[in-house]
Amino acid sequence: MTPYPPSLERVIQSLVKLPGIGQKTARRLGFFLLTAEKEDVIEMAKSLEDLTKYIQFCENCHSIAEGSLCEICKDPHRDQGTICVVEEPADIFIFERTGFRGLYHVIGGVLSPLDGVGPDDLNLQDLLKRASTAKEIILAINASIEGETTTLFLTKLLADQDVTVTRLARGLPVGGNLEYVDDLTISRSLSERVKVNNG
Amino acid sequence: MLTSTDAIALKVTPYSESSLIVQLFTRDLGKVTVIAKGARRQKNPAGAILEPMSLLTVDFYHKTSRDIQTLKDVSLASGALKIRRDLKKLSLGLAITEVIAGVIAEDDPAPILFRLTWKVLQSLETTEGFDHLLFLFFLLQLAIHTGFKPNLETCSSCGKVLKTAVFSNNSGELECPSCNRETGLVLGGHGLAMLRKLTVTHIENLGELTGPREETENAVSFLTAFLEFHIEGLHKLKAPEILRQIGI
Ligand SMILES: [Zn+2]
Ligand SMILES: [Zn+2]
Repeated sequence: MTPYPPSLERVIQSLVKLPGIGQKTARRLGFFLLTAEKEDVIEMAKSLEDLTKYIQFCENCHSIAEGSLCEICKDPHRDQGTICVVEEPADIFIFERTGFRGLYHVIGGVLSPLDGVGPDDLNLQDLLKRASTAKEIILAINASIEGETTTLFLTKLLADQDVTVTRLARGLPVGGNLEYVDDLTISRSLSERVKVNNG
Repeated sequence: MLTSTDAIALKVTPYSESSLIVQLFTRDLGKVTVIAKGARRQKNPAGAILEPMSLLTVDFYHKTSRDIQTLKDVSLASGALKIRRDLKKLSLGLAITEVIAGVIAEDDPAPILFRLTWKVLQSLETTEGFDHLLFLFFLLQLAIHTGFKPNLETCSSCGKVLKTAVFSNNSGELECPSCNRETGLVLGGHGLAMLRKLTVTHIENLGELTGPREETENAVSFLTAFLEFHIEGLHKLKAPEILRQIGI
């Protein structure tokens, strides 16, 4: 096979790193970019560069932020005593759609021995710190086996703290990823959340 | 070719908007990776079945030239329902999947290890009160059936009968405290006796084996180190560290 020009090959190999994109799709996208408006492609490249330059993780909740604190942590009108614990920053936007107005804490994944993810690899220590001044911690982690392990682990970890710990009501599909559950179901499982400790 | 076989789900990863990539330990073909198209759609029951530790029967189109096979049909023999409500069972179950995933290979059937893993996961789901022993049983049987049965009787250096065993980081064998003065893992008399007994105990009679919990945990650490030393693909297991941190 004739190799592609190196600059095109570089683009293809970058695209292949995206989730859900195989070689074939990457090649198609690569060729598409060659025919697209030059300004659009430059704007795309620039926005990607800015993304790496300006987006960092919030010091408080580990969500994405421009600056040291995210928009949610900066907002004094939000309920400072309620913290919703999620896996990834993207999950926050799911709960925002339900009208939840507390704060969040992103743990950055789930416990998964096969992927080599242990408790030390997650943002748990500062969750414990934040929990000591909170009223309620809502565990809103995906209902996968690894997510369930993480939820039960956090329940155990938070058991000694003087804080109410709740989890989303079951009713979410088993193995379900929050991303694919409709807003109404999420909203209901949030409002019908159940207490899991005596805090 | 359409293949039908029993399988244990080891790892499930979302792929694209609607599919799942599932790493399976199959009875007939060893490790197989399949794609379950559409399994993430809300009304597709396959999504709820395809979870780590699920015991399944799968039909898939098998082409050796492909890395990922296409799943056609799946049914559940036994799901991890009780396991998923219990942190200890969950952690041990995930540890079992991590260990077995490091041992088996693609296109390399391992029917005895398959039966072992299937039975142990089934027991973890259906029994109560000896989860740690089950894990220990799994590790010991795994060592035996992969050809690394530990010599629990005599010191590998001087040949004397072992009363206390020290795990040698050099040879990977058990030695007596006079031959080995490293400050490594030590297995006391109770632990040794338990392991010896365990080599001849049937999985259904594990309840009869009792011992102090610390001894079981110690024996787990000892066997884990032993397996990590001898089996390629098990360099540094994450699960025992998770178990330790979880404190169960
Ligand atoms: Zn924040
Ligand atoms: Zn000796």
